[in-house]
Amino acid sequence: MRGSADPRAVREQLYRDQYAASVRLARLLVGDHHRAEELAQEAFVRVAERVADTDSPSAYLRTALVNLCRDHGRRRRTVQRNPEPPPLTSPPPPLPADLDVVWQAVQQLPERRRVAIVLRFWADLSTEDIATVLGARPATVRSLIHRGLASLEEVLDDGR
Amino acid sequence: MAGDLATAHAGEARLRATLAAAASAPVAPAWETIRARVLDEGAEGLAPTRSASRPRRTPALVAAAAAVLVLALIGALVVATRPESEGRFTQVGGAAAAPPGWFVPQDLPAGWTITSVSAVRPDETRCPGPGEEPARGIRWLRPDSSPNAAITVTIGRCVPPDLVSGPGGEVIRFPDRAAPVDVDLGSVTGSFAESLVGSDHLISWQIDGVPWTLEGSGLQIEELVAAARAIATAGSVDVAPTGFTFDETWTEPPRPRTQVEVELTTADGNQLAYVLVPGGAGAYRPRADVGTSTPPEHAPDLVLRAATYATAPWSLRYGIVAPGVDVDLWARLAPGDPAAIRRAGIGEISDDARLLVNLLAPASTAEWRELLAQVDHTPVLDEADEFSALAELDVPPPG
Repeated sequence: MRGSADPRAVREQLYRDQYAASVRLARLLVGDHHRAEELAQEAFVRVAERVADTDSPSAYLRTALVNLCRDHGRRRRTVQRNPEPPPLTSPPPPLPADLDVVWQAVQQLPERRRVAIVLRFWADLSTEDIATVLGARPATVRSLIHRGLASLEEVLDDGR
Repeated sequence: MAGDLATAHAGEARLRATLAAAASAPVAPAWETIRARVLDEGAEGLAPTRSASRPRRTPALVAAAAAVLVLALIGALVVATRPESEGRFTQVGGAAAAPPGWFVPQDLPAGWTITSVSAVRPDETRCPGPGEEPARGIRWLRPDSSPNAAITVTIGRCVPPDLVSGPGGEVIRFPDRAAPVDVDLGSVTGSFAESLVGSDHLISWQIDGVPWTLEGSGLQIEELVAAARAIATAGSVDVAPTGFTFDETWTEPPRPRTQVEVELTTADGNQLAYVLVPGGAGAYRPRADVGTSTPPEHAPDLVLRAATYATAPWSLRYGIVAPGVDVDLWARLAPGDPAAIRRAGIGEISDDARLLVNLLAPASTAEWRELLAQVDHTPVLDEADEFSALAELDVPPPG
């Protein structure tokens, strides 16, 4: 794909293939559906000029999106330390009670653990691919996932 | 054991079910919005598409968003109207939270090792003298000769040779200037140095405490001395050296107070290093921009740069511009081989450097300290949570 593809065609195909999944990934990372749509669209705009030059547009997009979500999380924490104005939120997803408790716990995970958990158990990425997205070593990713699961152990055990 | 596995699988299944359910909300189409934003088709295209039921923005938030947009447009205009020499390697992306500024290579190839991490003060070790203020430079070319025939003068900062040949034929990197070869420049006495790099030579002198350095490429030593003598006597660069014509002039940023050098050895025994310097301070004057490159997929907000540089055309081939920090790559040849360095010249970015730049990724403070724990390093590095903090710490001179 590198270099020779029509950038507009690549962008449109990438949208068809990845937009919905991107919104859903962002939804899991930032916890707000409307914000997720904004971030997914922003990620598409940011990578638009380069996707035709990369071997894996979807991986490139995913990395950009995760970075945007992490930036959003940092800004949100800053706002929380300086509490004005109130955050814009959409209603939480209508989950069954036994899953909602897990979802609440996932949202409480430290950012990198949450990203690693979502990429592993929702996006089904390999440890190496998650390491690429996070800019970390695979061993670090394995540690993040292990710690993330340990943090969720109590709520996951409750379901059994 | 079987029970543990079953428990783990049940927990994993529950986690997957939760994530799938939480992610399952309908997604509104947004292609037209994205396409319009990519093509910059009108202001209305700048608003992201959202699903129904989004809370209305308050007037205060609308005003804040408009202010951010205006600032972003002003920023874009500033970047777009910069002189090319400044604007080529600007940062892209818009991370609001600054990362700590550390970079760590991910998954080094077999046989590659990181040998040391050093915090140094280049202004006090390589080149004593002023460095806190911007310096200025000027270059002339000789039109009737090869393109490499050039004279460059830097005022306000000494420019040491990066490599010289030691008494035993060994390569000495960043030699101090304790044993210069004096050269008579008429009104002042200068110091002469021969670089291992091609035909570059340097003559340095001071006028009223201000360092001047003249670098010559593709010249006979006698021509270099004559040019230095004329400039030193005049005390200005208003008149071009005989036979040369004006090429360009520029201002260099203040010298960084600290930098961090991470040294590596490849499986073939070649030496590499990447150097962290404060953002903007890594811009040694480019001799020839080789071009930019697509950022690595693991760090799409980074801008890579490729350039050769006036003071070390063979060595500084590749770099990264990141928020608050520049990363310069030094691709060095095996020690003890000055002849190989002389042959290197200005040329291709080495495969080692290409590989290393694609392995480098922004690292958290924890990841950086994980690296430090494995290699020899300057102790003061243990005190810095982020790269910028080094400027406030007492970084000792090496050696």
